[in-house]
Amino acid sequence: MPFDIDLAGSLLTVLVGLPLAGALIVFLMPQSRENAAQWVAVSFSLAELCLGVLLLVRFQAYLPGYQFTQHIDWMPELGIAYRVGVDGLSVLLIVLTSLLSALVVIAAPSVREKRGAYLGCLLFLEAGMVGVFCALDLVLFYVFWEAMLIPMYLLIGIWGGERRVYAALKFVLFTAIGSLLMLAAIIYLGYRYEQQFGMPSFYLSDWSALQLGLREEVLLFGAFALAFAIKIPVVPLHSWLPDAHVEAPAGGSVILAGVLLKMGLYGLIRFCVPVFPEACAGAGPLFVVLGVIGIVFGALVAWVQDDVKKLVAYSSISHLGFCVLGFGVFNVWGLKGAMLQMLNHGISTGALFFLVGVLYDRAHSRRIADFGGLAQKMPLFAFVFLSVSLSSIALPLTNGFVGEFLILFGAYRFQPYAAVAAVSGVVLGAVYMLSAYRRLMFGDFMAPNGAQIHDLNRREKIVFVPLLALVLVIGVYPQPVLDLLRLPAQQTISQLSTEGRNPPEVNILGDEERIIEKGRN
Amino acid sequence: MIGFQPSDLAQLSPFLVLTAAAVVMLLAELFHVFRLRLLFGISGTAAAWLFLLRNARPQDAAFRGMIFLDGQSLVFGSIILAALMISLLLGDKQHAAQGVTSGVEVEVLQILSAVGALVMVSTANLLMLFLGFELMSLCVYILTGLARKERASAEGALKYFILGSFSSAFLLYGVVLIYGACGSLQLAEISSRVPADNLLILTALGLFIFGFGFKVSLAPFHVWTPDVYQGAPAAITAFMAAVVKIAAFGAFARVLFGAFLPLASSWIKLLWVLSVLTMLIGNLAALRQQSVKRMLAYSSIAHAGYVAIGLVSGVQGSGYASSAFYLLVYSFMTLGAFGAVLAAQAGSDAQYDRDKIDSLAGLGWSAPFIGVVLSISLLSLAGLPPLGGFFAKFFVFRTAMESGYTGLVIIAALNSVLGLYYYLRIMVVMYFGRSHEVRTVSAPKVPAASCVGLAAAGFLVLYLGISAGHWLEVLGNTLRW
Repeated sequence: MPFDIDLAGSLLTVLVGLPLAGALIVFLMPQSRENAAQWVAVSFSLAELCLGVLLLVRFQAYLPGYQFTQHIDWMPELGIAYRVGVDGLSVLLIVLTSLLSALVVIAAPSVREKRGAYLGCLLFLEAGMVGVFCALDLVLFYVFWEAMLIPMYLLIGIWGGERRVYAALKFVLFTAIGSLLMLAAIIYLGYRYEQQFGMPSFYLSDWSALQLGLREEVLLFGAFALAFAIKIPVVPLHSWLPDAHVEAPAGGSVILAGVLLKMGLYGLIRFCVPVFPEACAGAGPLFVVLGVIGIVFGALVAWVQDDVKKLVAYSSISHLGFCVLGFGVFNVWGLKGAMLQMLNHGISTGALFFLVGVLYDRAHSRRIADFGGLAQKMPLFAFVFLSVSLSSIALPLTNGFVGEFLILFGAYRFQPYAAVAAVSGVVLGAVYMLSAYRRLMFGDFMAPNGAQIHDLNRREKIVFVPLLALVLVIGVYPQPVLDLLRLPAQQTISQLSTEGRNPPEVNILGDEERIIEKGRN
Repeated sequence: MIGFQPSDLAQLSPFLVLTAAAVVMLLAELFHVFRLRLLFGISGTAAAWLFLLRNARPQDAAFRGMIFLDGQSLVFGSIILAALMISLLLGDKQHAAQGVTSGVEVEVLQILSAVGALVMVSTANLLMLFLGFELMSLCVYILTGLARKERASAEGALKYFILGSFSSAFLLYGVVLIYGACGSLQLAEISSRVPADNLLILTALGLFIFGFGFKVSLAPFHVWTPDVYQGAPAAITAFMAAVVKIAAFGAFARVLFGAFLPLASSWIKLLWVLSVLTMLIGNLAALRQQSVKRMLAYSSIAHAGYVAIGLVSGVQGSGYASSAFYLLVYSFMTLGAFGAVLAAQAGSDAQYDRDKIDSLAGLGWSAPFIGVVLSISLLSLAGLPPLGGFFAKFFVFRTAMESGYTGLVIIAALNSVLGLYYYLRIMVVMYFGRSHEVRTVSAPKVPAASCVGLAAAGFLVLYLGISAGHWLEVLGNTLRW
């Protein structure tokens, strides 16, 4: 069918373009027409979500390589092209992005000031995020990566809390230091490619053929890894995150935690591994150490927080430590777990930030000490909070368990001590999450003066239903998601020159060869 | 007797047309045809550009190389004329609000100054170059001081005049020494006769770099820039920041590559140092400014440093084209930024108190159009994709890498972070105030022509970003004629 070919060719472009068009329409609408802007934004983001699901359905998990690829020359004389394509990991992240964006847009009426511009920024941001997850040309990737910065900056700066200016600037500057060094590295690699192959190219698959000296490779890898490590954030580089999270409006925090933090790890897997396999393999233990430090540090700091939003922010650092650990062990279990955990963290931490937003909306406070006994007045809220907390601390039958289990399993295969240290993070996670839950929900009812405590309204219910459903579905039956991630994980492993370290029996959950054969027939 | 051919007149036509436009405008003033000012100016500029386009051809010199309309003249001349056109649009009907008490002189002086700029970039003769340099500079000195009742304006004009005269003198001295060393004022002849490692020629080169470094405000010759840019009426600052810089860089590049290529090894090192110094000083000083125009002045200093990177790497690689592209984008984003500041000040009688960054508070909400143009310009100046400023930096960095100046690229990249900080500070003021905290700025009444100018600048910055590769190639091919 000609329609199919057409669709497959430009679906990703539509996915990038649709929110962009929505953003332009919303920006051009008069500021007073907030409700109309809301409807436009909701319809655009729901359409985007439908397309995202369509992408997921049409995606063929058993085929290696990128799918839905499209290639349009942009600056041919410089080797810069508009090249997009997705593998299983990017598909999941795109669906996550479109889901969270749609939910944030639906929840937008809680923003009281300048809502039209808020929605425009969200849609613009969504276009940038989807672009990051499907770009295969490094310059294109960089364009999306930086273009995303501005709407996020505006979201924090305009609709944020008291110290929003400081937080917004800190967020941008931290990111910019990393990304400008990455830009220098991208330009250098483009130049090296031209030197070696006689024509310029910034295409990722071309770059895998680059021959780099070891010192060169390590330096370039350092530039890339710094940019991504700031974004993740890996522990010594994390200080922008609590500020940005605390000051950002609820919707901004959801997107920041749910999607933006994934980009660092995504970048490492997608770009660093194929282009700098040796440097990556060498840095594996470093990532393991940094991951473990992140897990423990994040959990300990979260434990002592009195601000519930800060608590969730530091718990993010701890969870992403797990992802970094899973990446650093470089075996299929760890990687698959890290990828799955990226998705899980998006769902559960996204939901937690939504919940904190609900609380702040009612009481204009985020201090845990201000509240008590909320379960009496807000039973539904308490239920949702509990489910999400349990997912966040990786209780079996929730999505978090599958991911953390795989990561810990992988870590154990790599180095038992690393797994032992990381398990302490799981325990600490239960401690800080459940003690915060107890203080908020149980005991005598207590709320700040003037707080209007009422349970979830219809709009908020709509937001939490899909998130809770995903928590359960992935927790009970993770196989479809793991199927999607199998090939990306294997591909990443095979790109690293570590055949000696990994036994060939790389499959824990199925026989890949057989499935690929079946798919071909 | 200089051989004169009728075809030489064709080469002269852009200058004649532009000068004629200025004269007609002066006469029109005599008969009080005020309303047509802008029309005359714009159509004169457009006509000059058409003549430039028609008559520029590879390696064709008129008046024995005095006038030389080749690819380089076409590139820089076109940028100059485009910048002139936009700054005429931006300044229309705004001068009175800026404290400029004169009539049509503002436009006439801008056009005459552009004639000088055009001469600078379209000659292969050092003496003609100096004449163009002086014609341009004299007009700009007057323009700076046109807000006669403002102290800052008079102060800026005097400072600019005195320091500018010094730099012109250095330049002229350099020309004389070159003539002494090589016996010619023609660039091509100088290039073939340059003695290697001759103290005389090195001194001349140094004086030359001094003179041009002053005009393009490379550190440490930049000290005049903040005072002058801040003191001059905003419309004039926009004009200066764009036209003067393009002309000076265009002529500078032509002399460096046309005459002093044999000495490249000595001036490359000097320019390397100057470029690093310029970026650092410009960006660091801009961090703490309270005045918008002063901050943008320091930012324009910093950008001169980025352009210089292209010149440093122009000897082996395609740095010349990337420098030209940088100037092209720079002129539009800087016009957009100063133009938006000008528009924001419209309708206020006390513009010199309103020069503070804080005076832009809430502008993004009260005047969304100006806010958007200013944001686009600032983000492009900061080098964020997909705007023109990003690709301008990208190309400059790329050519520097190709020529092996990786360290320079890293310094420049880190400098861009500093830049990001102060450009975003303006956006903080424009957008981040809570509506009940911020004194609501009434939406300024901006003349239609000004809006057209702003829209053009904003659009071009965006367009040049998306089609950057194409334009880089066009510039590169044209420069190589």
